[in-house]
Amino acid sequence: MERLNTCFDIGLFIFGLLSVIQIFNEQFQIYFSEKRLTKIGTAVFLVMFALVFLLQQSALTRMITVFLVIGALFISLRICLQVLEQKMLNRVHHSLKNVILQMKLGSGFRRSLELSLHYETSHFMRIWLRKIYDNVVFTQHRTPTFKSQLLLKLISELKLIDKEPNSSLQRLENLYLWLKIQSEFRRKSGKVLSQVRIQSILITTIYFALLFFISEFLGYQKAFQFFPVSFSLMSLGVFTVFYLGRRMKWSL
Amino acid sequence: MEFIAPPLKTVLFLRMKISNGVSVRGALCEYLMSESDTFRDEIMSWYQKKQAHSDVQYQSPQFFRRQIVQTIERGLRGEPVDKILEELEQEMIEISREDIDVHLERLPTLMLIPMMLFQLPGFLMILLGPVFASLFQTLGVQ
Repeated sequence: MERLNTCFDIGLFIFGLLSVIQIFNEQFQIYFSEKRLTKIGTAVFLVMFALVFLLQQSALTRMITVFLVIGALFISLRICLQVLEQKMLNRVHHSLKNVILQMKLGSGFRRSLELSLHYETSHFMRIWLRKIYDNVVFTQHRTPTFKSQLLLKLISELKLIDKEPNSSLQRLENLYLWLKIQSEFRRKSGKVLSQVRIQSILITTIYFALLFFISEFLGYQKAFQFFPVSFSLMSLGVFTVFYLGRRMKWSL
Repeated sequence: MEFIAPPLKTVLFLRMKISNGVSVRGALCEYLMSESDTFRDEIMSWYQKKQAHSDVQYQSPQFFRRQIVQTIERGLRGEPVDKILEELEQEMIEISREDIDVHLERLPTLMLIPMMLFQLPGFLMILLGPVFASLFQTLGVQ
């Protein structure tokens, strides 16, 4: 029976992991080569497998751990990819400035775009820009799963610039200004949102750490005696923080 | 809260397109197709009504929203609007910057309210609840 349970948990673990990989597969490919992805995937699998199955646990705890680990992986990957994309979007106008300067020096649009890739110091930014470049230049390429609407607009605008070389510099300068202002406001309003998020995450983490400490110190029964009311208050607090954060409106 | 004020987003988009040589009507149609926010819906509804009855007026309590729609209306009549859009854009950028500064100043105080009302009692309950429960049990209080 124990062996059957373990097999079921391993199956569940592999299925969960594969589902997460499948969901993020195309987005991973934007930032990592296939070789590197395999290495990262194997390392993550081994670490998580050790975490879940090599520790002595009861069948119930093991199953909860499988769900928690897969859930945590899913959420952290989602957040990481979003943060990465936001960072790229906040910096993309700098690369566009390089393209404009290169064009002012006499290069064509495609050549300038390609040269701007070489000047990029960040590895992720270079790969990301390469995907955009491929999309603009090789029009038969399928658009990768960029989530941001802004990015899709940027690609379509660059394609238009590529098609109309006589006004490309003026168009690029307009695009640069548009992206620069958007990036400024994204960074500034991101500060407001990040304060809300940081407060909620920090307080929730401290709360669970405290709960764990109290339950270790006084025993589970005593610690969880007040848990329903206390947890409800905590959740209400977190919801109110998010509500107040969302309620902020532009005066325009 | 959107990362950028919808009217400012509209003006930025229209100005970019018009500077690229697209007509006001073309820029407006592109904007209506590509964006999705509350102001876009308001413009969409106004534009649809305008196409059916040409004398429809856009109603909004917000000054800049009315100004943008009036500018679009003038552009649709064939008047040059790029300078007006540029001025609107500068003015709205200033106001948006001030808005963010005000939000950032108010936020720490605002965040204290849920913390003091809900989260602190939640913490105290988990921290001191078992201690008080044991104390009362020892003292024999029901």
